[in-house]
This record gives sequence, structure tokens and C-alpha cells, in this order.
Amino acid sequence: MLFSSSIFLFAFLPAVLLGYYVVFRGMRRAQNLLLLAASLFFYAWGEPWFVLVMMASIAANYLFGLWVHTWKRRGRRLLLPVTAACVCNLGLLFVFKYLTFTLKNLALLGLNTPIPVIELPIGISFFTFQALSYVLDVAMGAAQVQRSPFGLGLYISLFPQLIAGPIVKYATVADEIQGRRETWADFSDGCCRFLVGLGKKVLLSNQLALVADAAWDTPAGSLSTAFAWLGSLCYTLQIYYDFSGYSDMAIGLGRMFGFHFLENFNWPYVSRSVTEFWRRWHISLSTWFRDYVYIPLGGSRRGKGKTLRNLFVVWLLTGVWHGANWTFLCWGLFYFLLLVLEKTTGQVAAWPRVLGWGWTFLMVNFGWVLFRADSLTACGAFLGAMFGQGGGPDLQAAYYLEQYWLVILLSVFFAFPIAPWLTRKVSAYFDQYARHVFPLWDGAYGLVLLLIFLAAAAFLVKGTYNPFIYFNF
Amino acid sequence: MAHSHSSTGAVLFLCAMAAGAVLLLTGLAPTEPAREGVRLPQRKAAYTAQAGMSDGRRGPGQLGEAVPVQTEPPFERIRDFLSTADAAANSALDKGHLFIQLYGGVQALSDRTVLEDVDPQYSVVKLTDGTLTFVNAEPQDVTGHGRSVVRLSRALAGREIPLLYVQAPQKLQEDDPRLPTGVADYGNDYADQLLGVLAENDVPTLDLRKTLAAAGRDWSSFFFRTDHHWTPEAAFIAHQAIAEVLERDYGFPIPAEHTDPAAFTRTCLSDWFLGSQGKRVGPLYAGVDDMEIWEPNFATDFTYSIPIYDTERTGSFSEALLFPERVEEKDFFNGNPYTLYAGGDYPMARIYNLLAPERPRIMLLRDSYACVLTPFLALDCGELITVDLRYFHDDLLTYVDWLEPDLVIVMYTAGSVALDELFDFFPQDAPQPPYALDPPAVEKPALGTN
Repeated sequence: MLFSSSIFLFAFLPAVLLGYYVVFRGMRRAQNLLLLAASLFFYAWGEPWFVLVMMASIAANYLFGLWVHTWKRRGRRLLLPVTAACVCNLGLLFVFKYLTFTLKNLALLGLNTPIPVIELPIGISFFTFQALSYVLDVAMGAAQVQRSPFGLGLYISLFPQLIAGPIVKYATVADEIQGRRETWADFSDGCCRFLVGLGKKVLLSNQLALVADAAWDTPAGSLSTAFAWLGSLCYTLQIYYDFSGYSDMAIGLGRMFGFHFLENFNWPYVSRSVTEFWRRWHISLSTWFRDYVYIPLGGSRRGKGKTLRNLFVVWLLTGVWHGANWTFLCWGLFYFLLLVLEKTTGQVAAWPRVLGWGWTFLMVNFGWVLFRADSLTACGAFLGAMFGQGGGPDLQAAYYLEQYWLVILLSVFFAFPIAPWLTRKVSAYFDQYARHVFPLWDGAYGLVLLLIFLAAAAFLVKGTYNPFIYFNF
Repeated sequence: MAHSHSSTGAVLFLCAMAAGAVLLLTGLAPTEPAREGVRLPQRKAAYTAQAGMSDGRRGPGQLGEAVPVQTEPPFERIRDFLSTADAAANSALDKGHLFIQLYGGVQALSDRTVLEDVDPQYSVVKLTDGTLTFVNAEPQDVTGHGRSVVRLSRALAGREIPLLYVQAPQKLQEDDPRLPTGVADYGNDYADQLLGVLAENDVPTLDLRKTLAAAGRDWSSFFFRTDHHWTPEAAFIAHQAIAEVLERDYGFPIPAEHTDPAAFTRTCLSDWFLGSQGKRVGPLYAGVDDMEIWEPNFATDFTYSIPIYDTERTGSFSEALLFPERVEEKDFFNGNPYTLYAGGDYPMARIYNLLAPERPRIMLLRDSYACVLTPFLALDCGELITVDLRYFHDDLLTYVDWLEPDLVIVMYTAGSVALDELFDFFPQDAPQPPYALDPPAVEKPALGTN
């Protein structure tokens, strides 16, 4: 089920809120069971069969957790249970996500084996990494074992972050599974955050997607330079609003039920270096790899050679995590090269701010071209068009600019923290009148959010274009 | 002072969500079927049984084999349900058309002039004069359709029945400057290709695009603002031109009052009509249209028969050929006032001029542009037979042989020239033998009776 769908907004969410806050008010066990049942239903809505895969993952990781806990208490080395958990989880991920890709490439090398058709369960990379996070957190002592299979099931399957993250580490929410406290401040904050995310997704990302898809659907020979640049810029903005919008909705929904997930985005497009970009983009994934791969491998404290190796492993895995395609792998390695360049030369950090920002934005934009392309050949052709190797008249670029100029302008505006900066300035100015101004602010902001909600609902009910990029990861 | 959250926002969100949930629940509840302006009349069960027909669109000879219905496995049924649930929910939520209006309002604010549809052919384009249209976005070779008309013309010539091809206009002119940047329309190109083939083969034609252009009026005044069809006034001008050709080239006498606008009373229903494009974007996007009712001041008496639906209307022009029930109440989304004229698109219909049965019998192969023209043209005929090949699937020449018209007119709007089904004159693609069997089940009603 999509957050940005009528069924979710007008049936699923009201029903769950009603059950949670009215029917089972004050009954934590019942509330958790309701959330678990709702989450499984939410997942099954997209593809009923795959809910069994997720339930199997929950059951297996519950047992792994107990195994790790028992051995830890007895003082035994945890290599075996942790390895078993990793093999099982990553094996599951491999079968569903990478087996077909691997066999296809082996076939190219002459090893002909039957290639099965395997459908990818939505969000498998997210819930597998969350499940693994639980076992690893228990092993590393960052969290206590979860005695209740329902509690663990709730953590892994909780619908706000189930399908497209953020990847919530178990230690972050372990205490909140039983001991959370819902407050009106959290609830109202969650509502507002959800609406902001919904607006980003439906009113900006889905519109930008029309431009980006049109550019990518244009044969390379007919793609003009202007339209290629416009298409790449729109995709750069689309993926940001798509994913950060989903994260906002997830964080907001979590807060409505008393869960506090960590931030996943922090204005990534203001970054003045690629290193900074990755501190601001998909923070939960970077953190996951840092805590469970980079640091266990030794991080940056074992010399330059091993630091390079560790970085290579992390970025190879980051690329592969996004999908079974050479483009994703190259995209990961592209960032590895950029980061190594920055770290070894120290160049970008020393550049003037604007130059650093321009370089970073340009590299990120090229990165997204690689990310969006179906193949390396298609990527090459698109990049070629961006640098004048394409063809065709610029009428398409003129058409899409004429039609989407406002969406593009707003998307650029909201990609930079101008609104929060303005808010801070205004609030500082009116600080002495806060008592009078706050109700006005509250009401005005509330009305704006209502308008966003109504506009988004109108687009959804009309049945406009509504893809989610990160569902496939 | 500034907070990232708003209690008001949360309360409003909960209220809006609850309101949506109520709309969804009430929308999913079974209700009376909506009044649809273009709905085809329902046939009575007794008539269906008698005629041996299974649906309203297929003739007796084209019944397909029954398809056995297999029960799907439960998992598939769940999948099917899930795949349609969202569309059903959207439909239920928008029963009152609140969301579509809001959608149009937001698009108007965002300065969009092309509103894409899930099906690209239904994307709505707003022209620089604020009017709406669909576009024929793809260039196509339609000369094959021209050859079909030539073939029909020859088949009719063998029966000593002349054919006249009338090219109806479309909302967009050639290289129309009102189109947004980067949007092209090829409807007029289709029409030109077809007319070129007909000219090469000496098939008589009448190009109403030239007729309207010569009228010296603003082109957009001939068309509705929120719909791609022409107005009754434009159709009347077209009727004048057709009447002139009928009289001059075919020797059909046309009384002067039929083509004199002063012989008609015109009543304007202000802000009464939301057209096909308007319904997709709501009235906030481009407003609504007026609908004009043209009624002759002279005496008329017609029987309008739609045999396949067992429907018949007898009375004056206003009672038989106009459908005043289609404009009884203003209902932008569920009504279609355009079908005030001739009722809409029927597979086949017959109009008998009871006051002048001696006038010629004309068969009109038509698309929806003919709706507003049909009542005017019926004045000039003893009998006017309209056939819409999109819905008529019997053998056309069999009907021609049976009905023996004095003239066959083919009239399509420019954009329709690309539609294969409108040129499917020979469904079995073989020369048709002269009609030798019993006539079809439908009989011409006795004149002057109901």
C-alpha cells in the first residue's frame, strides 16, 4: 500500500488511528498487536504472497536473537550465531534480489544455467537490514534481546518505515516498543511532518517525474542537450522529494504512534563536498554501513591502505544494495572514487564555497544519471546528449519548461533551507510578541498544511502519475 | 516562537481525513445509477429475446461464442480485488466531483496548459484563448481510410447511389497558434490526406473547414469552450452549406426556411454545459459553456426511431429530434447537454419526416459531430438514416440494399479520420452480394403512428 493513496489516507490510517487511540487506548499490548496486524495487512496489500517471506524473516531473526543472547550470557564467542544470521538474511536478499542478475552474468561468461523469474518483494532491502540490525545490536550489546516475537515483528514490520525506510536501527526504538509515550505535541508534529512529506511526494516529485521520464524515454539520438540537462535536473530533484518525502511521512507516522525515528535527510543539496553530501543523504543507510560494516572492518584507524579497502567495501555494498544492475554497482564505485579523491587531496574542502557546492551538485547530478539509467550504455548515451552528442530540436525542453516551470522553481526553492532560515529570522524579529504571534502562526501553518493535503488528495483521486523510486530497493 | 508543528494543522488533518473516510464509505454504498447524458438507451428484455441479440452493439449475425466463466483461485481473487481497490476508492471519493474541481483549480494556479491523463489521448490541452481540447498528437498515414471511402463510393455507384464525403471541422485549425509551445495536432493533416485521395478518385467532397473559415468569424466561436465539439450555430452554418450542395448537385429541393436562421427561435441556457475536456479538469480550470436550443418556427412532424433499442419518439422537431430531458437540470458532471441534439451516438437511427415523406432518403455515416447537425439535416429529408460505425457492427451494404437511400453522406470530424472503425465499411472485406434474404428484424414503423 502506498502512503500516497486514497485507500491509505481515507481508510487504512483513520481505521488504525481509531483502533489505536479509541478502541485500545491505554492497552499497550493490544495497541502493539493492532500495529503489527495493520503492518502485515499494509505489506500484504501490495503483494499478498510476500508477507509470508517477511514473517519467515521475523521468525528466523527472533530465533537468531535468542541464540545470540543465550551464547552471550554463557560467555561464548558469537561468531557462529552472527554469521548464521548474516548468511540467512543476506542469503534471503540474494535469492530475491541478486540471483537472477548473477545467473544472467554467469551466462554471459558461458555458464548456462536456467534463469528463474523471481519477483522482488517490495522493500526487502529495508526490512532485511532492519532485521540484521536487531541481531547485531543484541550481539554488540547495544540493545537487549526482544523476548516477544510480536515485539520483534512490530519492529521489523512497522508500517511507517516498512517499505522504504528510514532503516531504523533496533537500538533506536527498542525501548519504545513497550515503553513509548504518546503526546499531543508528538502527534501534531507527526501529522504536520506527514503532510509535508505527502506534499513533497505528490505535488513535487510526481510532477517532476513526468519531465524526467519524458527525457529518459526519448531515444538518445533525438534527445537535445537542453532536454537532457532539464531531465537530469528534474530527476535529481525528483529522487530527493520522492525519498525525503517518504521519509518525512514515515517519521511523521511513527511520531503519531509514539515512535521516534532518526532523521534520514538533512538538506543534502546544500552540500559543499561529496563527503558532506553523504552525511546529509539517506543518513540511515550510511549510518547502518558505518556501524555494521565500516567500523567493524577497522574504519579509518588502521592505516591508509585499510581505510581505502574499507571505503571500497562500503561503497561497493552501497551500490549493490540499491539494485542488481551494473549501473548501481558503478554508481557506488563512482562515489568511492570521488570520496577517495576528496580525502586524499583535500582539494574540494579547500575550494571557495560556491565552487565546492557547484562541483558537488554536478557530481551528484551525474551520479543520478548513472543511477537512473537502465544500463551503462544508456547512461553513456544520456551523458553524451548532455554534452552535445544527442540531437533533435529543443522544442521538448521548451514545452516542459513552459508546463512545469512553477514546479521546478518551487522544487529548487524548497531543496535549500530557505524556508527554515526565513522562519528563524521572522521568529527572531517577533520574539517579544511570541504570545500573540504564536496562535496566528499555528493557524496559518495549519491552513497551509490543509491546503497541501487537499491538493495532494485531489491529485491522488484524479489518479495522476504516482511512482515510488525507493520501493524497489 | 516558530514551531515545526501546528496543533491547528493536526486537527484540520484529522478532520479532513475523517471527512474523506465518510465520503469513501458513502461513496462505496450502492446508490441509484447516475443520470448519464450519453448513456445508450437500454433495450427491453422482451425485444432482446425477440431480436435474438445479446447486447446493444452487435447485430444478429455477429454473436460471439459464450465464454465459459471460470472461478479464479482465492489468491488470484484477492489480487484482482487489490488491483482495482484503489480505483474504486478514488471513484467513490469523487462521486461529488469535489476533488476533480480542486485538481483543476490547482492546475490553473500552477499555470499548466497541458494536463496529462493516464491515457495520453485524453490529455487536456488549454489553448491560449482559454478553451480546452484533446489533440491528435501523432502523425499518421490515413490514406488507407481514403481508399476505403473510394471503395465504398464505387460499391454504391454500382447500386446507382451517389456518395458525398463531408469533412467536418475540428476545434484546432492547421498550425493553430493557440496551441502551447511544443504541442502539435495532426487532425487537419489526416483530413487533408483523406480529401487528397478522394480528389484523385473523383469522389465528391465538401470541406466544412473552408465553409466555417469563410464565415469571417472568430474560429473559436464555432466550438464549445470546454468541449471539442462544434456549437449548434456552427452546425447550422454547416447545414446551410450542405443544403446548398444537395440542391445544386443532387437536385434535392430545399425550402428556404430550413436554412434561414430567422426561421428559428434560439434559447440560450447560460453556464449549462461542461464538455468532455471540462469534465476531466473541472469548471475551475476553464469555466463552463452555454447551450443554445434551436427550434424551428415552422411546422414539423417527425418520428425518430432507434430500432436496435426499441426506442421511438414522435412529434415536432423539438419533441422528436431534441432531447429536452438532457438539459432539464444543470448537472455538469453527470449530464451531457450536447446530446440535447439527436440524443447522442446510436449504432443506427432512422428519422422520418412525416410532413414531407417524398423528400429524399439520405444515409449519414457519422461520428459525434453529427449530433447537432442531424436535426437540421432531417428537415431536408424524407428519411434520414444515421449510422455510427463505432457501434454498428452489421453489414453496411446489406442495410444499404435494404433501405435504398438516394444519397449516402459520410461526415467525420478531422480528428476522427484516423479512427479505423469509422472506415470499416466492409467488415468481411469481401464484395457484398446484393441483399437477397429477409430484411433485418427491425421494421420501418408505419408512418404517422407510434
